[in-house]
Amino acid sequence: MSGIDVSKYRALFIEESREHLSQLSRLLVALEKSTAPIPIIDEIFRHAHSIKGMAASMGYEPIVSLAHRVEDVVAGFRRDKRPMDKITVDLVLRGVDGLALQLGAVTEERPIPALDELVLEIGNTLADTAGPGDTKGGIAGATPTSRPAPADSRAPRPAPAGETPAGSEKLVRVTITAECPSPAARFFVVYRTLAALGKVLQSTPSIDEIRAARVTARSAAFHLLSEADAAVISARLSGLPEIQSAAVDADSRGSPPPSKRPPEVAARAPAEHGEAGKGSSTVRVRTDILDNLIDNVGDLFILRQRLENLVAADAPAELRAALDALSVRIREMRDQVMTVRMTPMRTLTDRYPRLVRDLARSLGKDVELKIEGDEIELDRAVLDNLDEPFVHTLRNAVDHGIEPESERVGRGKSKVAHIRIAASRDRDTVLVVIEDDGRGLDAAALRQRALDLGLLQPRQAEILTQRESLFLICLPGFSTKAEVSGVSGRGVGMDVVRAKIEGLGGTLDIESEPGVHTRLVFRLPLTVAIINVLLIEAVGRVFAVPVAKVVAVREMGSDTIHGAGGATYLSFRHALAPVVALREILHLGGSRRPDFAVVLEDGRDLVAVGVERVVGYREVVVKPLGDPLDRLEWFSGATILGDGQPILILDLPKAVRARLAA
Amino acid sequence: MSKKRVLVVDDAIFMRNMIKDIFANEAFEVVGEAANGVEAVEKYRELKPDLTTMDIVMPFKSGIEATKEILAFDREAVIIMCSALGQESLVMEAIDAGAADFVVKPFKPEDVTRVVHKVLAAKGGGS
Repeated sequence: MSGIDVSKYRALFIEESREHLSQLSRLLVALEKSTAPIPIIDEIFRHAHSIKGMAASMGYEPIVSLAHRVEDVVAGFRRDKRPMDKITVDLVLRGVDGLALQLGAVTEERPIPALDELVLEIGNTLADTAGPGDTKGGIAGATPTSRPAPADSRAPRPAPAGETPAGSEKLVRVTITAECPSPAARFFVVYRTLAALGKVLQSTPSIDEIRAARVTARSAAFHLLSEADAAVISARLSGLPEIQSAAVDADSRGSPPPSKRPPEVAARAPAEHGEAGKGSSTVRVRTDILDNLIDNVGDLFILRQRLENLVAADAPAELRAALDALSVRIREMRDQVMTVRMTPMRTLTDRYPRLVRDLARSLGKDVELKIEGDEIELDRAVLDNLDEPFVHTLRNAVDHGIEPESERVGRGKSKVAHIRIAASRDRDTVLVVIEDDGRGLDAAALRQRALDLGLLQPRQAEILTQRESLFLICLPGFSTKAEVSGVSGRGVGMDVVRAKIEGLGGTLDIESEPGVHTRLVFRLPLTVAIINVLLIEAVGRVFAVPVAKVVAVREMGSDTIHGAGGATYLSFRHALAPVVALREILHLGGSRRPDFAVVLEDGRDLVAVGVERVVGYREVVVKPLGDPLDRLEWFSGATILGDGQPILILDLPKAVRARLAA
Repeated sequence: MSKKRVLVVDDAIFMRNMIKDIFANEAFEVVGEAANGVEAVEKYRELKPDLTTMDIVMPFKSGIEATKEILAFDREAVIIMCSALGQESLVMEAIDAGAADFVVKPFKPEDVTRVVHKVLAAKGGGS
């Protein structure tokens, strides 16, 4: 590689190697539980081999020699199609840890440690466990079969359809308008319209994704088998609301006829087969460039709004049309940039099985971690802030939540404990549930503990509900274990977890059944950069509230109940929600009775905030509040409206909670 | 051309008034209102409107149930669901049940009229 400056590839090397290492950890843990280890061993081999190859290109010799040893060990099992024993798995995991250590040195631009002892130990094992014909320099044997690409082509590909059923296949491409507030429902109407004309064989997004409202794109493609004329189909679609364009083509030869492939399988295939889904070519982009990009798009948004305000209502139609076209383009650009920033949760959770396994082992427990919905995508900026809270929650679960084996057996529970991470999309938010089947939280014990620590007054303890008691664990300085254990109880506490989640604009809920389970429910925004807000007004001042937290807006009238002592309640969905006036929360003065109630969700509770006016609904770019404004804990950020007016974004649930507690 | 007769179903007076105002500016006439699903079905049978706007979450009987009952009574009923953001799955359930289309609250008057015109045009051309 002489003559080529490889330093510019360093960041890429680090990032890709990290991914390979995280995959290696995940696969090795999976191997322990798997009944079909051979394909996993195959994959492990490929990852180790990739690291070695990249390190060699970069000239990182210590990494090359360790990766080489790891690869050799795996290669032996791979060639002989032998399952890997626990001792070897442990050894390879140590090798992976060593590689991570070396990679850390590269990241920090320190000299890379050689880790000779580890290399030697793995080398010795190799000599001991080698099957017949294996040599220490096994790389020569491994290389020819190590190209990953051909192996991936085993992913199921449908054979070309032999027979042609009635009608002909058409590819229908539909783009909905940028203003459409509910793409999933709109595409569903499109789907129903097409289904009335023929048979929808397959679609992108899949019909399952549409039904689950997992749709962010503005365009969709449907493979339709229909006797109807293309012009008829196109006209029928154009007749639907919020359709920007509808194009119907005879299904091209370019894409394989999907008729033999059940749509569900086709849609799920990439997720299940991991790398096998890599169809299109990709390019890596540094995250700071992406951040700049979103900032610029945000500024475009604000500028466009300003232009719109400057252009008079009676402006020439051409000017208006140009402005409209510009708006559409900016929205498209925003959508595309957002798509790029979206990252599957997998990138975070892939290393958790290993983490849980190691933690559990160190405590003599046997814990199985199940992860569901990790394909769900979140803005990188959100994802980056989730690792700490999630890891802390997992540590708590393994250390405090899950009982020692003997206790579990005594209670008639399974010896192996279970932790489940389940992510799902819900409206503008992502719900992540982290649940363990351990001893649960004992509300009475938590109250007692808080009393002992002086965090709670006896008078307060009496009126705490079961659920409120669970939230005591989020008080700073609260720890249920008398002594700080090695695993958790150090570093961040639940108070930090909660603060971090709320700082992102999310909420945390805690549920527990003593002796059965503890369940933490994280509700997270999909993105923190551009959000939908409701503009509300109190005493002539306008504030913004994220729409994701708003359940409904009600006129204060027959549904309002004025209780004794001045308290007001709103009858909503067969429950009474306390109404607190925004002007009181923010001490704005004034005495006008609010005309509208904004109903909000705070965990499982509903609360209502009384406002004088609901100004409207806007899509805004969130600007973080700098110091010292970020110390205002009820504001989660600020934004600028089209007329240049700055608006504070309220963290209303938090403010209401503080008000009700006061 | 005679005015199109509209039935407005929503449990909030505020929303009903807003929707009525929207139709006051058009070639429409709001002939009835209902505040829940039960009333909606009764009013529909009584009035046989050309168009019904239907809230989804309402007391006694949901908009989806009411939509199903109305369509069972009159297959040609034109029902437009008024949903809130985040009610995608309910909207899809209503569309499955035969609702013609939907609008999402909070809406602007032109959002509603655009959908209504499209839906009525499609119905007119289709039959």
